[in-house]
Amino acid sequence: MVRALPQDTYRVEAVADETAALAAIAREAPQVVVFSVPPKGGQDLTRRLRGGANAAEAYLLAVVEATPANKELSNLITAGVHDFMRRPFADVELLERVKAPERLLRWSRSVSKPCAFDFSAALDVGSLRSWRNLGSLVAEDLGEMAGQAFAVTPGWPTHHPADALCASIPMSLAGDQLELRLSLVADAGALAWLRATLLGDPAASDDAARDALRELANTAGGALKRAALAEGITLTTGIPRDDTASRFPGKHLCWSLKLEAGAGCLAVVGEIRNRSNERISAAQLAEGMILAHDIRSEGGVLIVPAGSRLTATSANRLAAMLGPRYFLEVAPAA
Amino acid sequence: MTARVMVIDDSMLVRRQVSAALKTPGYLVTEAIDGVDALEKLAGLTDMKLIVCDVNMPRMNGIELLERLSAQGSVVPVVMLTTEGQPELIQRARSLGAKGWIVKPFKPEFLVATAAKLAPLGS
Repeated sequence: MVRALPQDTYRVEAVADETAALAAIAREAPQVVVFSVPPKGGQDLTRRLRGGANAAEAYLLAVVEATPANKELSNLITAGVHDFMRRPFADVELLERVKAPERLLRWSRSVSKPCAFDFSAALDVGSLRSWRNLGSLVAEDLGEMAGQAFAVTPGWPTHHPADALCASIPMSLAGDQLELRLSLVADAGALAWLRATLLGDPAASDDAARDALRELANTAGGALKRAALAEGITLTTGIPRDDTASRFPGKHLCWSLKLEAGAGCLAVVGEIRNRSNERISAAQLAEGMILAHDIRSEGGVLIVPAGSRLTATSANRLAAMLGPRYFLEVAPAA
Repeated sequence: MTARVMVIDDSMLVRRQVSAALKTPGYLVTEAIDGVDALEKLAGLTDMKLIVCDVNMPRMNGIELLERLSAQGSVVPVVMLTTEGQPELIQRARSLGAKGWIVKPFKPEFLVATAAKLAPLGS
């Protein structure tokens, strides 16, 4: 078998028994293992080989007797064999069987459908289904919160004064240096509805109305975050805050959510922008910053995962733990 | 009979909604605006039977509060009430002793049923 494999293409090591095979596999982590199946116990041998150190990714090629029972072949495959060949075999057959994993790899690449995201390239948030359907996504959760349905139409509301109340929630992809911002703009009718329905007091103060709108933005952010998670993207959510509707002069991703009962209208606005991360000393960590990378101990134990938004508590704790000479990359506080 | 519940959320609207839902069946509610505020208030209250806590809050978030409570050996059951749904975060809360995870927007009756299970009135 060794002679059948060209030495300029393959580095081949031959061993005589199972113990030596397991040791060689553990030492060399081979890509292909060719082994003879004994008359009895072939399935167990396969399992032991497969379970050995550095064997999990190896392509296992079993050499079987001329007329193995179908059940035996089936058991070998179940135990982890990729392919088998019968004795006697020609050198060329062995060579072609050993080449099989390379062919499989090429075939797999050629037929693989494009994945949802090319992680080697910058993330295109616009391609996220959850981002494209932001208006409906938000309307569904807000409708559940308010116990009332919204009619969703794309675009900015026709009669939306620039001084309408606005709240935003920042969301980040620190690893991709992107910041998303989701804003809700409420006109006078929506504010009246918000006071009467959510706050239960038509005369509720402006502070209470602002707080309620911030919570609506928080709920909207949660809806987007969970939908993005289902698409494999983990967004870090910030703290909702008051904003100004007049800062939307240009084109943004926008939907109008019209209250079906009443005259109010909410605008849902989505923005994406690039935001460079900063490299800072651990002593400069502060509330609102988002870690771009995992923080691990010297032993490799994960202390805080990438994407974590720092609070004052965690910023102080990390600063004390890491010390001022430790530098790390963060997305600045939104 | 009644039982005392702490509601921790930086949103006044949520505190108000949760308090209203829990007061109806007879719970006594203490409110806190974040983890720091909660720890200060908990230090002066010995009859707390349940904590309902947000995750994303300024100063000290809900997970950090769970860490503190766990380190203190607190046995008060905690239910997280949040817009978050990240499995790793839920698992982290669970490992720190959280008894439940409710995703906002929440149904008041579900919250009350959870409270009744963890802190029965009259217990």
